[in-house]
Amino acid sequence: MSSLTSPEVGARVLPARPSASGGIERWVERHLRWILPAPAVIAMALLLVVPLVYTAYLSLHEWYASSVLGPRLVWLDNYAQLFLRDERFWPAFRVTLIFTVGAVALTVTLGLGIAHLLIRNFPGRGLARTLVLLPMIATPVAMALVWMTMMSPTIGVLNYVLRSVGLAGSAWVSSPRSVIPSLLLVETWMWTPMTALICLAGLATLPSEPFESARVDGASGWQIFWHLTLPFMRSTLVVAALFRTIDALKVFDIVYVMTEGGPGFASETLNLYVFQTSFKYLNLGYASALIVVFFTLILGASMLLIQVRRSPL
Amino acid sequence: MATWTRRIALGGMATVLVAFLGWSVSGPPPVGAQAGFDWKRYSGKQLRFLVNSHDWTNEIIRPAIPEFEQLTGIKVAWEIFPEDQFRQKLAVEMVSGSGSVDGFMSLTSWDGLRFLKAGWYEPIQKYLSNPAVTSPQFAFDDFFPNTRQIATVGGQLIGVPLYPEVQLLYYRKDVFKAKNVAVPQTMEEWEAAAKKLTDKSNNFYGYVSRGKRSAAVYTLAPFIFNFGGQWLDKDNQPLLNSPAAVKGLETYGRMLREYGPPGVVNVHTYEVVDLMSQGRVAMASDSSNWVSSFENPTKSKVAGLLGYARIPRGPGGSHTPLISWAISISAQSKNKEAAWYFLQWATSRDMVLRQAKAKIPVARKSAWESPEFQSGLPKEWLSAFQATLPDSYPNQANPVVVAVPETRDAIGAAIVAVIEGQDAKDAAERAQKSVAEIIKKTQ
Repeated sequence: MSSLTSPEVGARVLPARPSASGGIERWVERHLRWILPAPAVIAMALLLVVPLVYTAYLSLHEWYASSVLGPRLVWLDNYAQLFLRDERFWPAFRVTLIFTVGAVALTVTLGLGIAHLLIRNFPGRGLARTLVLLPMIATPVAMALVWMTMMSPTIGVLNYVLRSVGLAGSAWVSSPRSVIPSLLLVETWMWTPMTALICLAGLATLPSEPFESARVDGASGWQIFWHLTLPFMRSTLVVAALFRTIDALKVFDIVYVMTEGGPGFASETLNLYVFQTSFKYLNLGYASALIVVFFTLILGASMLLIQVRRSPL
Repeated sequence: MATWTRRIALGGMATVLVAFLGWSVSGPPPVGAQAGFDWKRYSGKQLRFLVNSHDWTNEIIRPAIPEFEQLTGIKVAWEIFPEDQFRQKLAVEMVSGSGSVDGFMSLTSWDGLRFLKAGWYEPIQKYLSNPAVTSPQFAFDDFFPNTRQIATVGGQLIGVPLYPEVQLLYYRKDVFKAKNVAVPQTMEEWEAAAKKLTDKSNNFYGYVSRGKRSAAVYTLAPFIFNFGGQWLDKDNQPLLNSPAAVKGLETYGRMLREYGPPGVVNVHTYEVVDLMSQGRVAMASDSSNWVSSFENPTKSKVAGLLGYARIPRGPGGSHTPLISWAISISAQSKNKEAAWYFLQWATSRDMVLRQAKAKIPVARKSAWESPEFQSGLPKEWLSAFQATLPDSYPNQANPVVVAVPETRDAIGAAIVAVIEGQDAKDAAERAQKSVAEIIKKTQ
């Protein structure tokens, strides 16, 4: 302690400083644009690139986690199996696409509609806005369990309600025909609040002048919506659609909890198939090939949407 | 086989004498303690077991471990995990080859061949036939012969069976009486009874069993066996498109479709128990283990109303799978003899008797026949189980292959398809093709 305040030490250190660190400082100064992002780049490389490259490498191998043998190089066999002979890949691909298109269309359309209602001034608006957000706040797994109970064909409340108004009950998630619409219902219920929130933010930032002049020119509500709101909201909607597309492509929790991909494989999405292949079948080589395909799909969808956002109408 | 049984018999006789003398001076000995066998031989060793969560692991063995440690001087770490996590944890530890696991449990019908192929099991016959490390009191021939087969994988004895289960027909005595229906003895009578008892307008169904993809394979099994079919032929090739298997699949699918509750393709064993306990169905076929749930009045509306019977017979007789978890020694263990001591102790007469007192089904004849086990369980359940046991097929809950989860998913898809009304022959052919491919790739 005392040495810090002693004049000898201070006298020795202070004059030495500029000359000793001058080289380093100048070097840092010159390479600042590399040094500042370096930690982030290294973290990204370790967390993203390394696993991705390793997955791609594994996808060229046959490897069961429970086997005493290590990975065996099979080149593109896994991919050939996957695209040409696998009876579960294409159905899972189809289910994923249908589910995604359905989920995005429903949540974005309804979200925009709800945002339109909530942007208006009415008594209790704050309360209504809070209530609308509730499904998104609840834990998806817990909500999926609740929905599953409600959808039970024998003892569920949904069929009870349907029957009490004279309609036939549905099998809901217990039939290959109604499983996807039922899952879409849950997905829409759960995630429409998110798109509504995004749209609400978008609507709040719209300029008021074009709308006023349109109204003065006598445009109908529909014309205003179609020719003004929609074009103005374009980039907001694309952002909402982008988020929802990525979420819906990798949907897992509600499907796993409610159907485990069933009945049969009628609601098996790609993500679920990857899970079964890796964690149930311990077939890590094949699962890696599936992940590579899946990753490409998500990347492609994202790039497509970003392109849509940038391109002029 | 004969030599070691004789040795055990001779040793047993000698021990009985010595033990009797010992008893007369010092009172009853603690569990497992007998004169003439050196339980302290591996004193100071440490063991680590990875086990699946079950009443047996949690309530019978865990609290008794201090007794084992006192008896042998061996320290035991008893690590319990739920089934899925248990398998993942075990796989990671065994693949790493660290040798830190000395023993583990496995469901041989599910894990057996995979674990055997991976080289994780230490065959136990050589310990069993070595009187230096096996207590004369152990008496392996006290286990029902069929249950010893459960622990035999690829021709090798790989462990000791713990709590066996077969399948039984559960039925509502009151409903049968009211509708004047007799307990079905044949497959035809079974289906006729299911038809007669179904009353859809009142939301009441004649029969339920599992319809959910992978789970349903287990309850389909007796239908295939009873029509004279098998899962695999001698060369381990699937027989799913055989006429008997197609007939079994067709009957099972039709009964669930016509007389089962709506949404049966999403029914797992838990839903079977719920539907029965809630009084929604007249009959169910599933694991024999559910008796305590059904007879528990706080969980079940039908406690006291249930009857228990063998699965009705077909042209091939009446056969159900017989399955059980088993406890094994890890081939990577550095303390195999000490681990064998633990296995012997955990499945000794005395410990199995404790298990029987807790109404957990037992594989030992002596414990099964004990008054503690026989009292308190329905007489009909006991006799139905005992009648089923000799004709049951050890481990045949599914084709016994390396890749059981994939195989069960492939067969399960066929079951769902048939329940949904597709042609059984087509579905069976598809399953046959998929399973043959899976076997080809993994074996």
